Amino acid sequence: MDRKVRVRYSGLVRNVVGKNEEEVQVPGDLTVRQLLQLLIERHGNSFRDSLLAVGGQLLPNALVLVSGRDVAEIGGLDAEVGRDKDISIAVVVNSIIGG
Amino acid sequence: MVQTSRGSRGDKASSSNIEKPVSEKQDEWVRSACNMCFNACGIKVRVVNGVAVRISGDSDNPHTRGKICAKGLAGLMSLYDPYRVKTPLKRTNPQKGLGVDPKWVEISWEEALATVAERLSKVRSDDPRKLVLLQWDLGPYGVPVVPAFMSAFGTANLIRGGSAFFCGQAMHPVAFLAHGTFFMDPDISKCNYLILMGSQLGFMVGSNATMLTQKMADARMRGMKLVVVDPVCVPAASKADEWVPIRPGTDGALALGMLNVLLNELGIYDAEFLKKRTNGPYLIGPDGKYVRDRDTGKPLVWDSADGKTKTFDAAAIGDYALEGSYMVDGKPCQPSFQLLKDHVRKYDPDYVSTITTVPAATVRKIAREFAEAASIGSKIVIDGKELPYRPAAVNFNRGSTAHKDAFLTGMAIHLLNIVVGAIEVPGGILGCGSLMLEHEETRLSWMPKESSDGLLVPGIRFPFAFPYPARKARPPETVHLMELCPVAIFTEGFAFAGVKVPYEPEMVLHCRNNFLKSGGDPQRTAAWLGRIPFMASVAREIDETVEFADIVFPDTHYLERLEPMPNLDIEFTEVGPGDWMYELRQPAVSPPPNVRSWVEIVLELSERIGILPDIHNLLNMINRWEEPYRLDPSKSYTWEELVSRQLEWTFGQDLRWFKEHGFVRWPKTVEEAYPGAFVKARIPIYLEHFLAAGEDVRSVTEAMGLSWDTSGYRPLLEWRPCLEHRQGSSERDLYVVNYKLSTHTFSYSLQNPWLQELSERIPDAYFILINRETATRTGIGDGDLIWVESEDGLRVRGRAKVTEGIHPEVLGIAGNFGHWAGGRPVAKDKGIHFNGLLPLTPDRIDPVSAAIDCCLKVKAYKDPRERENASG
Repeated sequence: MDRKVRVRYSGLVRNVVGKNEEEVQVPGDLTVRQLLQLLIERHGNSFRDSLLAVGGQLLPNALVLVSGRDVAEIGGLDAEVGRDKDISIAVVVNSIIGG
Repeated sequence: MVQTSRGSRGDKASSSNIEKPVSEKQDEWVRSACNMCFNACGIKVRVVNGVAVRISGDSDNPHTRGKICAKGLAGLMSLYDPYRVKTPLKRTNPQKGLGVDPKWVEISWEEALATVAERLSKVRSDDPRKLVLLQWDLGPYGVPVVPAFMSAFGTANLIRGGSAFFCGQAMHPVAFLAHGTFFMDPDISKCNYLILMGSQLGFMVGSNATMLTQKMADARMRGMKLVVVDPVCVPAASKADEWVPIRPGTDGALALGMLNVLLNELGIYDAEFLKKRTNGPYLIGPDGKYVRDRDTGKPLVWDSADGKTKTFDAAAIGDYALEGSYMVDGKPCQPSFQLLKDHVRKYDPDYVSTITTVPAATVRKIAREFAEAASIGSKIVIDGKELPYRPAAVNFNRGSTAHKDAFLTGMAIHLLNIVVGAIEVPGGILGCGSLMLEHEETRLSWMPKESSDGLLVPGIRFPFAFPYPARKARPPETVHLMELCPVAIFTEGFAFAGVKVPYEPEMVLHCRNNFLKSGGDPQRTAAWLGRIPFMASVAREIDETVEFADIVFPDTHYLERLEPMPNLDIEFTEVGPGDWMYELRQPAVSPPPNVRSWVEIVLELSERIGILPDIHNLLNMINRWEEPYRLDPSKSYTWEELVSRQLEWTFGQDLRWFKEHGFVRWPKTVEEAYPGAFVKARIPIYLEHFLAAGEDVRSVTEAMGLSWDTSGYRPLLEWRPCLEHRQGSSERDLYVVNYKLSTHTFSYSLQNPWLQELSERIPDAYFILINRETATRTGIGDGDLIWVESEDGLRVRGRAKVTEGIHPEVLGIAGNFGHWAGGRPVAKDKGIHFNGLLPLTPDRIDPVSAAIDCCLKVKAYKDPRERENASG
């Protein structure tokens, strides 16, 4: 059964999506990867390229959290987007600056 | 002269959350971390009646062990510099330019903050990308407020300035590809043969200077052989067993020549390592790409044991083929190692000698010595675990990679370490913090990962740009064109290259870098700055870059600052066995009453423009803070609260504990000290992913109608001449190079009177080195005032120092001297500004790593006025 997922955007990805948050209609069960694919279809390749490397891996300055937990700690892009979960997506400036 | 008087005590800053005086005891020692360069060496500061009177090394610090350099000892003179900015300033002269007096007037904090906040709000509502940050502030890594500020604001325009000419930029992508981390150092304690190429590691220069200098001294005492390859007999070369003078910009050719000797003349390489820890066995098809399994898409290798192809990670591989030619699906293919071996054959030592001027016999000799010292096949037992032992290493830094093909050069040099297996094992090259296992002392831990192609992917905890997997190229949105450099780490050199982005920068926020001095071509950079409608600086002194500001905020000195974990664990840390250590930079003294730290100013501005909730949200995400540590977006927090929260979350100890103890430490395991035997992921000796990255960049730039060189994206490493090797002229027949001194950091330390006095006692600090034969040929005498002139009339002037300690084709200029700003009178007019000779055009930047090509040809001639004076 379809349902809605709330996606909050932070940092540089807001420049791409042009909003702070949105609701997305999704199929009943889906992974973070599938959710990102839906969002790419909605927001285009700029969204994809700001989050993903060439091979489809999450870029190190792209953060995706499921109900406050970094997906890197819960199975990566294959993590399930469970029910009643909110999704946060941020793209941040690289934090290391030299030496 | 800049007015530096104090503001009123009732002003905003004096009631801020600045650290309260710790010096109310009459006489005490405060443990902290130095910041006269970026290494964060452990220090103790004696404070008497609120005045810092002495700095010494902290002998309890497990990394720097009480060692301290001249810069560190001289920190007091910067702290009490009478030319410090001590109140907010406003420009009244609308004209901006090199040497133009800004005509400062003092203003209140409220006026300064309100003015800058209003500008920030205007820019953000228009297009946040129009804000550019110029800063190199390594202090507050521990709580990344500045990246969070930029991200929340909506701009990715970060220009660091100095480091483009400091690290050379190309070393970091190499370190990431081979070690999965930002920086790498040799395991000097166990190394028996070390080659430094364009590096003075172990001689109080560069990262981890104090600890490596002690280790270098110990290693030399026990007999480690040191070879230094450098156009100049720099301090490291002068203390080496062998100095190999080389023509600038040709280190890559030397490395490839040595590789040829190893692979094709001596046949010495670590086959076991190449088979299991590199993509050497991966089969490469006629298109230059991996031959992949039809079902899984994984790269294929050839199993010599049963004569079949298998995926690289198949369970039963009898023997990976490194050499030979095979047919797979009707197409010819070869292992990438075979391609490399054949490829480097053209770098015959005699040919290499014509490029580098290094005699062919020397190329062969140091290649053989290095290969034999690597003791391939030998083992060592550490903590009960048997590990490969490879006591030979080649280290490189900016000197060898400050050239057009910087990345190709750096990777070619590091291939020497890779083919003998001297990677992450005792005696070889070790990544700084390549991995951290779980420890009860901290929540931190990370491990390199393995891509679906089996290659090493960094596991470090920081938001970063990695060279693998590549990013997707796209039309640039950053002024430094990061989007066109999908495997680079930093790209700010391109900020001044003149490539248009979809907007014009409107505002610069600037702190802790002086990129007019530390970058190239001051006229070009000044023109760029002059076009920026509004600039705010946070500054301790009015340097050349601050002279372009509209508003100046007074910044704190490092002995007045609170900064958690300034010794970044992927660079400023000890490699090999020892302790993990995280320290605290804490105020030894209170700042002057009207002075605030840069981070506090950023937080205040963020609150005024309404992005503080976003910053809190981003800090929660970046730091992975969980309850009860998560920040409430609706609240305000002091910097001290943020620092304490991070320390407690990360280490279970709060700020009070850190203030008392100074640092937290715990021992590394052998797996952390030497990850080589424990990590499975492979290192690319064949850069297959560069083919797609180059094609990607070509496609984007062609669509933009932009002429862009993509020829550096090649899977096999190559030496190619720099622009100046090809151009030059009979008139400009000398190269000029720049090298670091142990007594200065960028231009930062030059206003320090003790260090300036010291420089006057260093024979070459303020001079232009010229070889004796060259001097005779050109009629230049020792002490003559000469001009050195590069292309387009960029020129600098200084006294000649005639010496045998420099390559005959080369002039040498040390440090980053030659200040002109009146706000730094101690530094003003001392020494020579090498960067003033550097053109900053796109054809002089490596499109792969964005390193600046410092390979310059110049003409040198006596100052005619002095000649006239002499004859008159």
